[in-house]
Amino acid sequence: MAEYQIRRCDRHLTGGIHPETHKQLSTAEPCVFVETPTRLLFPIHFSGGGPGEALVRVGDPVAKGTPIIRCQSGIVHVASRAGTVLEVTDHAMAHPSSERSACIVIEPDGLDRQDYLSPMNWPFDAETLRERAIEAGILGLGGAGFPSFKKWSNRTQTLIINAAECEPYLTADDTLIRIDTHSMIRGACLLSRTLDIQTIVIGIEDNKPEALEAIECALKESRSDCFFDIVLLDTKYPSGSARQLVWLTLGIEVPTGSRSVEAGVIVHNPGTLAALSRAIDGKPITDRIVTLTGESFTRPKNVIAPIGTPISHLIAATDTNPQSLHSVIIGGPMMGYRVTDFSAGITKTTNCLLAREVEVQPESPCIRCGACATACPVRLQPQQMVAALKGDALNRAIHEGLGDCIECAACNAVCPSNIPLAEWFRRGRFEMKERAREHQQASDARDRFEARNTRLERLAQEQEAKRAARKAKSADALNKARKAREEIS
Amino acid sequence: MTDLLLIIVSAALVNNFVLVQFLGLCPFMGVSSRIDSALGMSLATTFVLTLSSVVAYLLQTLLLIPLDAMWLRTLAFIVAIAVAVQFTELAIKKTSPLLHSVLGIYLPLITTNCAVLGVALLNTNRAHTLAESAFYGVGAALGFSLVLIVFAGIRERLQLSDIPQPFQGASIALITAGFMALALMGFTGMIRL
Amino acid sequence: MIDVLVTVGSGVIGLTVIGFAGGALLQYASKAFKVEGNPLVESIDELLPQTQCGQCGHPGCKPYAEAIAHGESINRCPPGGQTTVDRIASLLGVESLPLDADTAAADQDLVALIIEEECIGCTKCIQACPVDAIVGAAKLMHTVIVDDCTGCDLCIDPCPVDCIDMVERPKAPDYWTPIHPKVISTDRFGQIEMQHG
Repeated sequence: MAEYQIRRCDRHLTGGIHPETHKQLSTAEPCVFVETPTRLLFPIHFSGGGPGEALVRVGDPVAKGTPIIRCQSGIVHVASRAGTVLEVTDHAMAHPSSERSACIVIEPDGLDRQDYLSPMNWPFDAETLRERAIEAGILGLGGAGFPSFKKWSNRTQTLIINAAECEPYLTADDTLIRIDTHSMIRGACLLSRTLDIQTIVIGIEDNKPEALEAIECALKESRSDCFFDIVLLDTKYPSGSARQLVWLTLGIEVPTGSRSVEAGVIVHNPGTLAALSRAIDGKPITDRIVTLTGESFTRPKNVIAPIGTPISHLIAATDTNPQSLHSVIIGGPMMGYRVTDFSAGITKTTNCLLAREVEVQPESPCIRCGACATACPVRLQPQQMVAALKGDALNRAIHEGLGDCIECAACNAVCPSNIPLAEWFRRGRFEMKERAREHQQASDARDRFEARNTRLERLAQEQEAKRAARKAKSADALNKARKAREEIS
Repeated sequence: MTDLLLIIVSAALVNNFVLVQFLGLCPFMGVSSRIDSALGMSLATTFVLTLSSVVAYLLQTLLLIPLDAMWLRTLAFIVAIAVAVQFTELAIKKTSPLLHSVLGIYLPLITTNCAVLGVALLNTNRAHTLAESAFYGVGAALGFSLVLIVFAGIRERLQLSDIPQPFQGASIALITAGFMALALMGFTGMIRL
Repeated sequence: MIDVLVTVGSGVIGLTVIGFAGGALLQYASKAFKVEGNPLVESIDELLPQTQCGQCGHPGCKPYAEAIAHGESINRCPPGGQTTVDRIASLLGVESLPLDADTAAADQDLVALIIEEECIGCTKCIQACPVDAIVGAAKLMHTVIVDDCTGCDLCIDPCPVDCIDMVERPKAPDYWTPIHPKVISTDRFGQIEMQHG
């Protein structure tokens, strides 16, 4: 039995909100597998891990697990079912940009051909695990999609399993913990043994008693020698945000501008760790749990779907007619984004499809009520930042702390004037990064210009020196010749 | 000691030079569009005010009264103030050329700031001692800085606000200054000095 | 009469003494507070785009920054665009001016592209590039490093076979922009884009 303790978190999040969680909507029915769809779509550049290149061409046969995309970061995306590559074409995607971009379209043939990696035997070192995480395409399955191997280093001291799932409606992590606890624990243990981590913290909100029970059972059966510190958090949005979670569970406040990995803490989604466990056995990520929820779905539930399944197929799995919906939200009501083209395929980071009709309220002028500042978990002043952004004063907004905004949209939820604050900050942060990039380019150009000038000056000086030396040499020779002639005559 | 503290409070708040006595309005309106330039200007004026009130007192006591030349008081004070301002300008140019460029013409204009000359002359009228003159200068400078920086903060926020077309620019600034003067009226009559 | 003369005289002498004393103090101060160079120039140079293209009439961005510090107009940098003019105006605390250039051309972010089939390997463009963004050697292929190119187009003229084009800077394949809130927000009258003044 693994050593563990359960404790109540004694710190409380400043700010944050208590939205209606609506979790029971999708946990009433058991989690099921969906039928294999007739098409699977994989965006080449937007699957997570940076821009990619296709490893297959039209007509190539693929098996379940055949690598089809390799990204700039090294991350590999694989075919989630056996079939044939039908086409590589511009297509709509499950991505907030609502752009069309190159996608690999695979037609599954229903056969069970597999193309897995070889299972890894313990003991293995950090480098081997990192390579396996790259080949199996492990990235943050909680929605951010950050390549997991980049977080691991020998400075890591603590692993936090992010079982908070604070966003309303989402129950994907809750479901995963209930049905696949052993994989999550095994993934966490193997990762900790490899990186020499002594304590594994599990941050879980107190509205998940079934998941907590499942964790306890799994720990009792586990033979791991890691120590598990289970922290029960108050149900509040956004306690699942990485910075907030690190502070609530460990009391460490990660400073502005740095990441939690630099403080020696890594935060992983339960699905990511379960996927890592399967990857060590040789299986790359081919499926994931997706929560299909919302009042507009006939039978909301959690499903296990292959990566690349079209959204329309998932909508049909809830006995809902896709034509009856104008759009669905990918993600939750706070940080999710709307898509209207249901032929787009889900990616590794699609954790939820939310279908509900919400009346769009018109925006009114800011009444300076300050509710947004009270709700901000990062203790910023959204009122000041949005006034600066609307007045085109990006510097002012950055001075107010725009770089620290986690885009949680808690301010949106409380604003009585219905001002789309989070959208302003998202746009402002994008412009801030663009400006920083341009400034860096300009600085580099200036450095190169000055280096070039120095080099040209140095070359000119060397030329001068050579010419002077030559002149001196020839004058010297001339003098010698004259003296010699005088001596003769 | 209480007297000296009362002098500071009186010069800074109760009889604030800018919003109660309405002296020194030129830099108040001209430099207050940004907080950093307002801060720079208030530091410069503080230095000049304190220095010139002390120098003015010394000039008067050591030179003008013995020579029975009180009729040259205004000229002498202006010369002292001009020297102090030039000195300040050179110092600012050395330490912060950006501030120097931002303040621009308003830095030499401290010479003609009626608050600075006003402090020097009022010291004479009220027959302050050296300590009292110095504290009076400090108090006046504190009040000037306070009002200037608060006004600059308000103006920065006004730039980002939705002001109706007829009020934009100088009008809303002057209305704001009027409101600030109204606020300071709350101190009226507290200290008679 | 003598009284008046003595009073006036002593007063004038006193004032003269004050004047000389003040002048001496200022002389000392001007030597003690002497400023070498002009650090203001550094702050202005930070805001310029560093294309070193010469379109402002100066042989580089630093000389133009120096000129601005001495009073030159701030709106002569097309690669910087109106944004740079506004930022310099904000830095110096002066009124912003409209950009003194063809704005449509100034807004584009262009880089040079060498058409390799036509390149003869003469190295004239390499010598012309102010930021060393072209690699190549005599009789060997020349090519532009896109990330280093600032779009100054100083390489276009020297090329004897005219094989360099200015094209739009290519964006990363995963580049995307979040929607601007002005596009989606509505005011209480149901109209898009509240006027902000």
